[in-house]
Amino acid sequence: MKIRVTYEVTDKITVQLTNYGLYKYSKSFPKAGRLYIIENQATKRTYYIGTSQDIKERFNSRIRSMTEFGFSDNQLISISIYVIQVYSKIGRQLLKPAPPNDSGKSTVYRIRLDVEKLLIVTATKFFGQNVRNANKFDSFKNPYDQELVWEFNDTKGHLFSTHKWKLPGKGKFPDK
Amino acid sequence: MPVEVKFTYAKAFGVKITNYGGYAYDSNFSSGGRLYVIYNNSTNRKVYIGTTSDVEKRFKNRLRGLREFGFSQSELNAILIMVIKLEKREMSNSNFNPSPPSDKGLINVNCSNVKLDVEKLLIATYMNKLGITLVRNTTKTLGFRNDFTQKLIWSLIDETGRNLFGNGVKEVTYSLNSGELLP
Repeated sequence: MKIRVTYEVTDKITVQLTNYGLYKYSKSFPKAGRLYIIENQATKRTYYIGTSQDIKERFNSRIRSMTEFGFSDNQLISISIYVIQVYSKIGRQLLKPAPPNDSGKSTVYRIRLDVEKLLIVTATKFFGQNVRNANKFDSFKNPYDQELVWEFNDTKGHLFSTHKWKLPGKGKFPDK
Repeated sequence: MPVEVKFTYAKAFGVKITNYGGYAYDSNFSSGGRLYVIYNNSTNRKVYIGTTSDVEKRFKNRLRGLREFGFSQSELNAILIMVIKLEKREMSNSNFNPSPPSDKGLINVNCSNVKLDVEKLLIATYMNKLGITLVRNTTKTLGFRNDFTQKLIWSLIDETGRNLFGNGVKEVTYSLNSGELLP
């Protein structure tokens, strides 16, 4: 039996400044637990990976910061937010949503799996030094006895190419 | 007896990125209720005026946002945060007493059932007295009326050493009679 985790980019959202000085997103965030990647092409450390059990509330708070600090259109144009829904699948069961909490953990096969950490480690391997996260970037250990398979499905974001990885029971990623 | 309020610009803060990629303020915030003004010279709406019952907590959250969005040091250099202490007195011969604002920007005034909206008063002061016609605030921008039966006198005092009011002026004082509107 395999344990599968799927990361699916569901939306790419940008920040806009209206003529009246209002900051707004190009579309609304779902009121649900999601991972997210914030890309800022204007910096050397281009990517930040985060988690929230209510991504709508999280980014409402972030836009209040934007208004208060007052960034210009030119500064916002390099920023994109990718919303990522997490799914899990155990053996032959159907794929089902596994929303993460504020600590980045989703319940998958009776274990609080750190799906944020797994994504950070995977992204760090892909993007190298370009990740701004200050923790969770060391290796990831498969907590299950079973094989863990995870894939990144990115038809909307164009961040990663769709890719699949696997790790034997109790194995480490990356395997040094 | 007039109601007198002092807005003391006690400290100014910048944001810096450390060698390890962390984001930090160049000085520590105290806890407690404060008004604050955020200048950003890189935009045409240069000023935002805010209020919080816990300024330390508010700016800790704001820092997380800056880090996640990954603004660069050159973008952060345009930002200056000023923290403002509020004091008030209602008897001319008494001392001024600390009067921290709530999250809604209000302070109590003993002689009235009406609370004083110091955030709104400061926004109106910037827009009508200090030459900042466009602020980033989206509410409380339609002027301020003195709803007390007493005269209202308020002073802005610069203790930051950053020449906030220009020409070396350290203190400016304004007043509004009862029922009078600014502008």
